[in-house]
Amino acid sequence: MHDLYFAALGLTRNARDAEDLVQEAYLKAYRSFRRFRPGTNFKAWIYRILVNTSIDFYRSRARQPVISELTDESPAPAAAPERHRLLDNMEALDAFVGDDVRRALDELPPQHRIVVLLADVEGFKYREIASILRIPIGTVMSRLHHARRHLRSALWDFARKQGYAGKPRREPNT
Amino acid sequence: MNCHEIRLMADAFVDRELKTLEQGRVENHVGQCPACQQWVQMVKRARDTVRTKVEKGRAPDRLTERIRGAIAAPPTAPRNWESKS
Repeated sequence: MHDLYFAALGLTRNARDAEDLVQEAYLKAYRSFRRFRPGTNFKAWIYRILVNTSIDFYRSRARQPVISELTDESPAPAAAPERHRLLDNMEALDAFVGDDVRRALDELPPQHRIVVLLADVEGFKYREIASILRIPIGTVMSRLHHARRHLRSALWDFARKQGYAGKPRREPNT
Repeated sequence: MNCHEIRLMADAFVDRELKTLEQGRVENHVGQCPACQQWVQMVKRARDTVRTKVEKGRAPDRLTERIRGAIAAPPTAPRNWESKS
């Protein structure tokens, strides 16, 4: 349940909505458990229910329509061209703490955020992500490529703001 | 395979999600191209930063009770999020 709640937080970015979403997903899973085929991937099955529930959830509330783009096969908004400064400052990544990374993740559009969460936080394989989001595996691959590029830009911007990297810091001559 | 193609495939490469033949071709290129080698290293390090630093935390304790309650309720009962609007 904790993993599912974390994924729900990634979808909603709101603790109360995440709780509602997990409750509803569990209820749906419980009621449709006979449709689960033993021997198949239970974790992917319940995550698919969570994603579908999130789409219904926001549709019913007529808010945050952007969430419906999760399973849209059209290209996600392209990230700005990647600046290569992270390439020259990779050690900046070592300075990040979990909350920093989480904030950078929160800056991503939902259809980017969800693939990074599923691949890198939950550890799903591409074919499992394809099944959860009901999109072709090629779309998973390209979306993850764009999402990570976007995330690296966000991490780099955050690293600079936090002073982890970027402008050399000179002490004033006093 | 040129450097542009390699960079497009770098994420799937570090995730070992490419087909064996493609994985080998990327590996060969990366072995001979320092710029792509550095690129792949950056992709991997950024991915590993997410993998290792994001802590999932715990769901609130009350959520377990809420779920139990929802499952025990008759199926016709209004769902929590529908009743709020």
